[in-house]
Amino acid sequence: MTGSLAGLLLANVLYLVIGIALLPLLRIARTRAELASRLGLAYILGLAATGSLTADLALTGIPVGLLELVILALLVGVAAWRRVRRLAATPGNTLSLDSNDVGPASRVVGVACFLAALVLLAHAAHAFAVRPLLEWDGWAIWAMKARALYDFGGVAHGVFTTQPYGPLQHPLLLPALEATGFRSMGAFDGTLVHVQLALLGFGFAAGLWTLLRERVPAALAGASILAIVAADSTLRQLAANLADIPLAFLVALGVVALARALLDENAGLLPFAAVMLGAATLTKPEGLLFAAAALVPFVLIARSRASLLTAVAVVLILLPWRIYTAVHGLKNPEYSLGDALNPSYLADRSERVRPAFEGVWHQVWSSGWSWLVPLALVAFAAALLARCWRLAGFAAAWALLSFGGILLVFWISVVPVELTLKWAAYRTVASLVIGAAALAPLLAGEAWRHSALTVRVRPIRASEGGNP
Amino acid sequence: MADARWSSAAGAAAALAALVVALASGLKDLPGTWDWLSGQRSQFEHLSARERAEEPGTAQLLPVDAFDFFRSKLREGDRYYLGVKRGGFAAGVDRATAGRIFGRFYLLPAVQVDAPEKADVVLTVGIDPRSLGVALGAVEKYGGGNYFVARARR
Repeated sequence: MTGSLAGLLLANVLYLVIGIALLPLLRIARTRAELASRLGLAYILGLAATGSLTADLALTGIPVGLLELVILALLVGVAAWRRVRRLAATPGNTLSLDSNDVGPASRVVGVACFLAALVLLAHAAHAFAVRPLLEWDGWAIWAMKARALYDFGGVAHGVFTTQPYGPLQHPLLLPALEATGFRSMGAFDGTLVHVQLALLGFGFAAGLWTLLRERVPAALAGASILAIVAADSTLRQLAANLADIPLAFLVALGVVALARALLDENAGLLPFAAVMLGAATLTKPEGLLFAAAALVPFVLIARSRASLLTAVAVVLILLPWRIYTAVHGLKNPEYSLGDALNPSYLADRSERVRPAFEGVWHQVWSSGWSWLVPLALVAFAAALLARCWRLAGFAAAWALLSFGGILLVFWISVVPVELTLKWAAYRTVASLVIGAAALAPLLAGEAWRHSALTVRVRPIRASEGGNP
Repeated sequence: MADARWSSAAGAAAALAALVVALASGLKDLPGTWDWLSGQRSQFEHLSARERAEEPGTAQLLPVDAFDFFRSKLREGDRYYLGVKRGGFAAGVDRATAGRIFGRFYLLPAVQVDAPEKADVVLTVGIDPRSLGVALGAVEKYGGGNYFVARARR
């Protein structure tokens, strides 16, 4: 049976509407001007927030389809409308897009690259619309769970709690999102559902462009987004209906939003970061690793009440799933994070460290990621040279903790190391590589901004008779 | 001050280098990714809706027609046991495991159980279902091969 593409697109329009409404409600947009300038965050925000909600509702057997999405959009829409009417019409503290640019050439290059990325994603949507489920885990794990949620309206009949249907430790955001897609299409359609994945790619690109353009020259923002989207592994892995690239998109947006909050010394983007990282924890078990790797250094560097509240919000988003797994005794058969705190366990498996390190390192530098890692390293060097310590420190801490976390997972796993590296390493590193590449324009942009400020300050000091 | 000027100049140069790397990375991979997507479109656009639905099994060389036969005998919420004669399989798992994994996906909304005693329906591949030791009703055989279906007698 084939589904209706129009139904799927309508569901995604409703995600956009919900996201637009959440911008003022979560105080991500505090003025009308800010609301207009941050509309690019709306779709991915609505999708992540609704996806998290539907994943939690699935645990209680409440299905979400078009009707429920319309009701949700109306509820948040009315509340948002009342808030928007009270919003100041004055410009917010969002930086002007033009203030970051180095000239019209930067804008032309940046917009051209961003449009090229969007055209590539449209091409992907065109191809995905006819691509059936092919890759083993894509249908055997993710589409199976999505189909079960669609068929049963939620977790039922032991499909999510009994071993024949393992792995049971994967949280439900992606299956719940796809199940909502099936309900909107009117049928289970393992082909058309790939369009949802391409739309997620659009949401990532638009969200990242919006986060970066408030702070970064257009050329850097656009070129980096094109580099991420065009990298061979990004769309190939996305097409496989695995959760790793959706996870990487959510992690990258959350990490960049945290970095922006550090730079701006403003809490406006923290609710967005919380929704992205919270959704990441509900996408794959590793989502918690990448979110913690971002939140721990962020809280330590920011040392603010808002940073703590952001971490608490992420935990609260994850909490229903953790309660569900605790109640049903669902354990990851491959590893237990508690083993990471057991020195004798780690020592007994020390022979795994070297192959695990080499395997993960090899995948990070894989040609499938094009030059995303060199991009991140050069941008990091730029930030260090320009002495952007807070941003560089946050980026380095997140990347190192993430890499260490991935390594630790392969270290403590009970699966033979060569097998688990072969099966999982190439996709587990996606969040690290894409997240680092998404931070790169912010790092390089700050270095550029720092040099521009130095050039501007010098003549003023000279004219004031100050010391050079 | 000279130190600050040097560091900002070096930072700006590295930022420009990052821009060059980003541009080169995107432009290097864009044609290949575009071609791969075009290839995917042309490879699959001619498939019928039914062929696309069967592709997860077809790609694994599984007898999807037999699973269609199984599905026609199952009702929503039925608990079924799938017994498969042991044998090698190309995808790295044995044939029984591959069949059970595909069944979990393809036979939804019926639910797989791990023992024939727990099942409402017994499905078998290459095995006589009466050999499983549970009381069964009439056994139906698929015309295209040794695939059997029988409802458990309660």
